[in-house]
Amino acid sequence: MLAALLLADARTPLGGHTHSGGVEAVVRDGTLTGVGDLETFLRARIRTAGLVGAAFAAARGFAIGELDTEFGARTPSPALRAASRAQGAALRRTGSRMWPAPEWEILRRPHLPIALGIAAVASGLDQAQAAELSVHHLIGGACSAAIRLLGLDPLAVAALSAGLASLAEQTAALGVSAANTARTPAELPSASTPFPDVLAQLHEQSEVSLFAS
Amino acid sequence: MHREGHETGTPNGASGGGRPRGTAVRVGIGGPVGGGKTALVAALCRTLGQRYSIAVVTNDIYTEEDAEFLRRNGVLPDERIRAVRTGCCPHTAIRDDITANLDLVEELEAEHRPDLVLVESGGDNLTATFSYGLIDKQIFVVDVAGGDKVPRKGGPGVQRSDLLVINKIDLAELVGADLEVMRADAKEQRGELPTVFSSLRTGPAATEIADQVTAWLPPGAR
Repeated sequence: MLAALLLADARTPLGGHTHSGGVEAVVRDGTLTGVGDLETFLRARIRTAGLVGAAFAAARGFAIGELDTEFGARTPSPALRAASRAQGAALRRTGSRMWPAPEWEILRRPHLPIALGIAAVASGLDQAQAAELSVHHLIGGACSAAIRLLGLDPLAVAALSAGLASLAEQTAALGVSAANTARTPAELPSASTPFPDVLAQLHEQSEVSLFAS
Repeated sequence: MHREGHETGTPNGASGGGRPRGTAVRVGIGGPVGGGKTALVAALCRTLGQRYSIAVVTNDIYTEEDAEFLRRNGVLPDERIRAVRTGCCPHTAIRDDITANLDLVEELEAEHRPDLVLVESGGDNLTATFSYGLIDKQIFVVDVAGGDKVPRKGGPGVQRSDLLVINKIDLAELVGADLEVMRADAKEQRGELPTVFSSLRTGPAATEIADQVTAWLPPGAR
């Protein structure tokens, strides 16, 4: 349990604070302007990117390299692939110090959910905890970025996060069940939200951006 | 400019955590907004760039204008400059969660084998300080226009940085800053740690600061 809390804690240096989970791009675009929009955005992202991340973080018994390739195939935007690898590398850097394990040596810059899966196994977490952590980081990263960029009321955003908990848990459970029924990594979920993916690509090319993604 | 990001997850033997040490000495340059951090980076590149191989990681909001400034003033090619986008938390990126910076510093060290890596923080406040997990030495830059009470206020940068630079002394008279007060307060706060008074406008070579940085380099590099 403590390992799960450490992995969920923003004070653990995992590199997450430099990423907005696509929020900066939709704020710039004018699509996301307040707490209501943030909820709409997150409900869509949890069901899609959240499900995929949860399934990959919970997947067990597959080759790490194959999982990594399949996750990359589900991330069409090069900017988001780079962001996912940057966060996976940060998690690997810190996680391998916290819970040393040979699996960390397989990939130098794994995608984030793959790194989370390695961290979960190395620290003794179960599949559900790994999947929930994956969704938790998606929500936490977006919420914290929205507060910083728009000056949203952090108490209102905290209430929103709590309100999203049941969707997050259901999604994590779906991810676990998808991970356990897939016969190969190719059969893992591949849901996506194309609009934020396209914006992420534009974000990468924009001259002044405050978040890495 | 180059942004963080890699398209490969290929295995290699690189160490997974902490500080895999190359030969480069890493120097953090921090301090409040507008004190002259970017100008100091340019000055150090200009003064030391002929003798040493240098690379720069900037944490400032990095625009084409900044890149152009370093290109024009710093005689540093683009591929030796990387920018970290800190997610509105310049402080976090150099102290609490240094992973994004370590990533780029190590990348530059692997690609260019520099003698010196300068890590410029985003403009912050007097409470900012670098983690020694990221850098070996840190310079804290304040300027006289920020008020001559700044050294007295203290904070980790003023008190414990390896070098305190009090910049823009050419403006002291214009802004009514008493350099002797600043000198005495800095001495009081810092004890034996060095303080340099500078004006990058009248002394664009930043000789005294460059000498200090040179002294931090290992004898082999010097």
